[in-house]
Amino acid sequence: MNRSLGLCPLLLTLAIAQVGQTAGASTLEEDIVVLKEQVTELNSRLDEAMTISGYVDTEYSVNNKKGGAANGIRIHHLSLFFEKRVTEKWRFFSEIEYEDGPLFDDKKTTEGKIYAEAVNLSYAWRSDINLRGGRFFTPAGIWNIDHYPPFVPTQERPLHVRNIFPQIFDGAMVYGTRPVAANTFLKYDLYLGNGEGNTGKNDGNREKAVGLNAGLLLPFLKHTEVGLTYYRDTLNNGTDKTAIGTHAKVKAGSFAFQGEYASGNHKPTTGSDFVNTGYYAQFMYNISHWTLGMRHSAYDKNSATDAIDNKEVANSVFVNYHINHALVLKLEHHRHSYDDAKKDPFRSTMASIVAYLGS
Amino acid sequence: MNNRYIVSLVLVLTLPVGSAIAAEKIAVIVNAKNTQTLLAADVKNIYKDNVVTWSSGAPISVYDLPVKSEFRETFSQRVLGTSARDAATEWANKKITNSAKNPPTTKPDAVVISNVASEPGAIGYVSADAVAGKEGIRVVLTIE
Repeated sequence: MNRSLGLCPLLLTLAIAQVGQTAGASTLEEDIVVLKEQVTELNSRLDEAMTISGYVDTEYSVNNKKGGAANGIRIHHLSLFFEKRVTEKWRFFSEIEYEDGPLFDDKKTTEGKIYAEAVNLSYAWRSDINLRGGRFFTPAGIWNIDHYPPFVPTQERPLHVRNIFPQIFDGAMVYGTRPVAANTFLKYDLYLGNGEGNTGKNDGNREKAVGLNAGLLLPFLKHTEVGLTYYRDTLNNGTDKTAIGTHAKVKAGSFAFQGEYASGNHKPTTGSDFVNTGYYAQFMYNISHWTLGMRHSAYDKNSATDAIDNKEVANSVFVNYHINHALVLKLEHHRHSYDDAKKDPFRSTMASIVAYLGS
Repeated sequence: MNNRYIVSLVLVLTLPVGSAIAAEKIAVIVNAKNTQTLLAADVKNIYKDNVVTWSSGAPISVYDLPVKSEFRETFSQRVLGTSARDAATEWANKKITNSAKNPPTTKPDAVVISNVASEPGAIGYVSADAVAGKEGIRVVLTIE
């Protein structure tokens, strides 16, 4: 009797503990369900949120160019990218660039530049057919698109870039990627819009420009890409312009090559026809955090009234140190020379730090 | 002396460059309901943004590991033929040039397994050891 009485509290305690444990496990399971729902909701909100990324770069440059920029520090770019997935298919993208630490104050001080370099809306229909409307970088060659300082080896760009194909384009485009053979893909951008010098509300003529950039990704080496660009425009002064270009990019082991050639044929309403031509070849070697490289770049700018040889050549060497994928230190040296003996050759050296502000 | 110097320089320059690759196996995983077979080249095309849909036409949801993960380094070196840092740089460039069609979502390996198990269109990769006994996923490729 005493023994059974003694066991009762023990059994009761065990029973209560068991019930408590069951209730505890049940509560824990409920908590996990609630937490999972909260994570799902949070992920859904993050998917819908506008994302902001960007980059910033600062340079110190010296040069001996007559009448060139003074040696010194330049707070070059602060660019902010805003992106929002409006629906599953529709996506908004913009880039606002603040160049040279802009200042616009009530004393009418004007320094630097604020520029909406990209503002567009894209519709992702299918892999090989997508639509985009608004302002975008002109799809022409490689450097016109892949030009952002965190991801190119030099702050100075090849000479012909932006001089034969326009930097940006207001209009609409169809673009996509489709397989054409085993592990071989065709990328294309077909675009129609206001054309060169006609951004924003300043469309100076009724003609529309049209362009096509097409590239083949081939299954050779680490990366092999070759492509062509075609661009046709009637400029605001009536000149018919037809530009063509070709580009190639190859990565093999630690070596990388990138090159472009472009030629713009102009037929002005008065004066003689003329052609502007430019090209560059760039070689890079990547070793651990370092990128070493050299580039030969040339641009021959002509005009209907100018018979002299205007060819400019730039030979460049550069070293990059990648602290990580988002932060790079650059040192570059350029030697510029001209066919025109009246123009003095010059040299420039630049050290810069560039940060990508994104995930 | 000069020839020896040049030969040494060439040898140094032609040495394969990259971080140490982990010896562990990597498992490329998809949702258990996904029956498509994949070769290493297919996985590369997905992670290079050249292919964004499954053969059924359903969109692919791509999962990546953090850049500092040793498994991402192994995956990048062996499947993509580049370092994890360079792969991350390529994606960052695609994002700000507005040319990324299907950017990957970066998550730790446990979350990659959980999300691939719950999303029919998902693909990811983790340590082969981490997938043992996990339900809802299928290993489509093992990278030695």
